[in-house]
Amino acid sequence: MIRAAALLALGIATGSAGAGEHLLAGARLFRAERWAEALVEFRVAERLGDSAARGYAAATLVKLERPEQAVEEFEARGAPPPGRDPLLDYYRAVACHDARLYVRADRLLAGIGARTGPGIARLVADARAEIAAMLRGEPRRDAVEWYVARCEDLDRAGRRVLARAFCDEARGLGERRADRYGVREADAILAKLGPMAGAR
Amino acid sequence: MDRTFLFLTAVAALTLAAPTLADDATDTDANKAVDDALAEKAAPPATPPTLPSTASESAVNAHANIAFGKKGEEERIAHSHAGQHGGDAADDARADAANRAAQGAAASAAGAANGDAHAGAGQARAGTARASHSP
Repeated sequence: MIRAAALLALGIATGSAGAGEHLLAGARLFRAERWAEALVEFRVAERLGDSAARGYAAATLVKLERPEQAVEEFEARGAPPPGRDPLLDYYRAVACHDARLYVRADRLLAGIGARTGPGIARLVADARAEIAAMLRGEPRRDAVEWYVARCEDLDRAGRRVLARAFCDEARGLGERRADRYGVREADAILAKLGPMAGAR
Repeated sequence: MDRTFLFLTAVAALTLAAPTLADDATDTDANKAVDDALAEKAAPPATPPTLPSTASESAVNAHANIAFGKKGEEERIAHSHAGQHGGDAADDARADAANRAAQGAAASAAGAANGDAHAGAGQARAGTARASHSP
């Protein structure tokens, strides 16, 4: 009997590793700036069923300087929606910023508001001030054209989530012009792309 | 005999309940740990905002080609150490390997990630090189 109890106790102690252990490992590696290894841990946690892990993986992609992939990850089905976690919203905004999706980034940053601590709030304010300074005045036509062309390229490559983001950006920039240059063209492509699974 | 049966039943119940309770507690702690790490490492965007243009892109591409040439060299060096190739497919493959290993021992995940860490290091160095080429 004692032997059976001991074996069962051992079973308790060595229960299968859960997603939480991989999240903890990922957190430790993230803190140590070992981004690639942290990404693997978050991916494992995601596959073990942790619903938050996809957002953590996306944030890690930002650190790995893969912003377009991060945007796709943040906007995929199953990712935490904007507004749920201001910290992930900040990383998502940085992903958009680094992918040159400035109007989108600013929208996310505006949504963070006062829901964070002073450190993040300062980063948000600085980033918004820089974007506002850059967007002062009408965007040039060739900038709008660049976003439409990028959208079309991404659509052809089958990266529809990202294509949609770039067409949205072209639309946002076109609307800042008196002649709404590029808006109609962006709308036509967006209509063709249709609503996305993780559409925001 | 009855006491033995009761004892074993109680231990069995604990065996079933403990992992769930422990996982819940671990997940809460883990989510907080990740949130803390993300907050600690939050940084401003990598580059100042600049609207691209079809005219400026050729110049940007020229810089990018120079940087990617450098990056390619860095990554080749990194891969010669790692013996593996970084990127999405490698991430997934290593995640799969780690996932399988997680059933028995979580430690293999870190080992599986080793190659990606080398690739990541190469990428970071390439980033620095790219920054040094930026106007």
